Amino acid sequence: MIEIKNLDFCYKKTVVFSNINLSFPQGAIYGLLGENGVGKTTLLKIICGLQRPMRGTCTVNGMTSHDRLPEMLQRIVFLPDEVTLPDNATPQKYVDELAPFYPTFSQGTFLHLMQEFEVEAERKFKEMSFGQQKKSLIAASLSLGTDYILLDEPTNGLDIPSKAQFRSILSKIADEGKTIIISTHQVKDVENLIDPIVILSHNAVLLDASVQKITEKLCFEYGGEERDDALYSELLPGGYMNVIPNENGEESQLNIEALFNAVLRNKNVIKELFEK
Amino acid sequence: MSLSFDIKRFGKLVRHDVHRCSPRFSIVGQMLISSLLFVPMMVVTQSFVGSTYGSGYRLLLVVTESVAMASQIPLLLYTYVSQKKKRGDIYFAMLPASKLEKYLSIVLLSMVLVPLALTVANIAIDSLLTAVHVPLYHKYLWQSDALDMISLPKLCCSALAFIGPTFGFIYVNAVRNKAWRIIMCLLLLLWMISGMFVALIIEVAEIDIPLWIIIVAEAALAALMAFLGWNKMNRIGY
Repeated sequence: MIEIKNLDFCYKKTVVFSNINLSFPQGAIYGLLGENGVGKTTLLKIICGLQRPMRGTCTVNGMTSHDRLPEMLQRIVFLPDEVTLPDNATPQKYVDELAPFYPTFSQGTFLHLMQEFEVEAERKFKEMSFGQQKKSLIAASLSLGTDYILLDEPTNGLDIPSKAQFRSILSKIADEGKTIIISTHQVKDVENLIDPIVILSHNAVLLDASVQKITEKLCFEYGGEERDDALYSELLPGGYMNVIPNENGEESQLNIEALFNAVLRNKNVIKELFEK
Repeated sequence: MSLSFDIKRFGKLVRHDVHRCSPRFSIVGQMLISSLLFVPMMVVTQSFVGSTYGSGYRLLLVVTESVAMASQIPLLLYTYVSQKKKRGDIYFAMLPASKLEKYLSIVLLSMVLVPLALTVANIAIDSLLTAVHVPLYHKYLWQSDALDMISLPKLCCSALAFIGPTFGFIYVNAVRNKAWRIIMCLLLLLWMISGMFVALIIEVAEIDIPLWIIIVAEAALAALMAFLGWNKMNRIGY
């Protein structure tokens, strides 16, 4: 389990987090959402120990993350948005270098994922497109068999079929009890995949709730008129999409983009609603 | 701070580092080839100006050149330790080994493995030239009279003039400020050259400072550099 308690973090004079508390129990795909610069990548870096908080703690399975103990690093993999790849390396060589450090690494899983993504394991990275490099790195990261998988903008550079493959692969991995945290702007790419959803705002956590809880508290109405009591309305083909407090316990289909906009525009209302 | 140390994991890490650095060894290889030509070239040049220093002179060149090159290893091989090239270069930091193991692996490669390989290669080339009776190569390096002049204090002084700056270069490798990096590199090179030079000429040049004071000062500076390197490696932000 990943636990963040009373955490403060700043870059020089810019406060990124002020007294935030979060926990990520095992066995779910968490979606980490937020506007540009709110600290999504920073939070992932803090979790895997690449940044040291100014105050408070961040622990992974009880180990302080910034100590970067080998026992912790064996259980966590972080795939950043941009990665510097070794000169002349192939994906196979890349995992061959990493494999001795991860007792849970599976060559079979790696080859299977590479096959699913339709990328050759023996082809040099420099001869690949950005999307193919990304798919190779996703396959390498997932084949390490770590308990925690942190992905920063994983669908950047992926084509449409690859995004579907990516979702299907992650669903299977989550079923194995792994914890996956995805930080992304491309919410459509991970819709129906992420649950719970964490929305960050400047210095704080605006929302940390499961999809079930969100749909219990909020109703996503499609195709009607623009409503006065809507927390957020958007004109779509076929009518308005309204996000309204779910006072009658209606069932509705979550729309992450609408949720995100509703949360950002009604911070205090949402906070009160979810604290009830 | 993570001070855990596991010998098996450390072995894996050293193997990994050698393998990971291997593409960069081509740079070292190119330097080595040019440096191997450097010693014979100097010997020939000296013969033209009318003075040959024999095997002692060659020994001095071989040692100085090997050490000068080896001290650059942290900068040549471990560029991926910090984030100088691109964003997201977190590979080394995320490798499941303790910070101590990672630091010691850099130290081992920079201060033992590569310098040893360079020195052995230099001596092998010199021996080959001696074995095929190339003019000016009359004696093997280990038959040199100059070896009699080597004493333990001088050896210590020279060794510290290599170890200290090499620790310094490990520190410099993780520094992001370019101006500070350049200044530090120049100072470290100055220290290395002057330290070795002092050890060689101390008796001839009538330097008033006793050698042990120089050794103590160098040891203190080397310890400071080792601490700075370790501290920087521990605290480097990504």
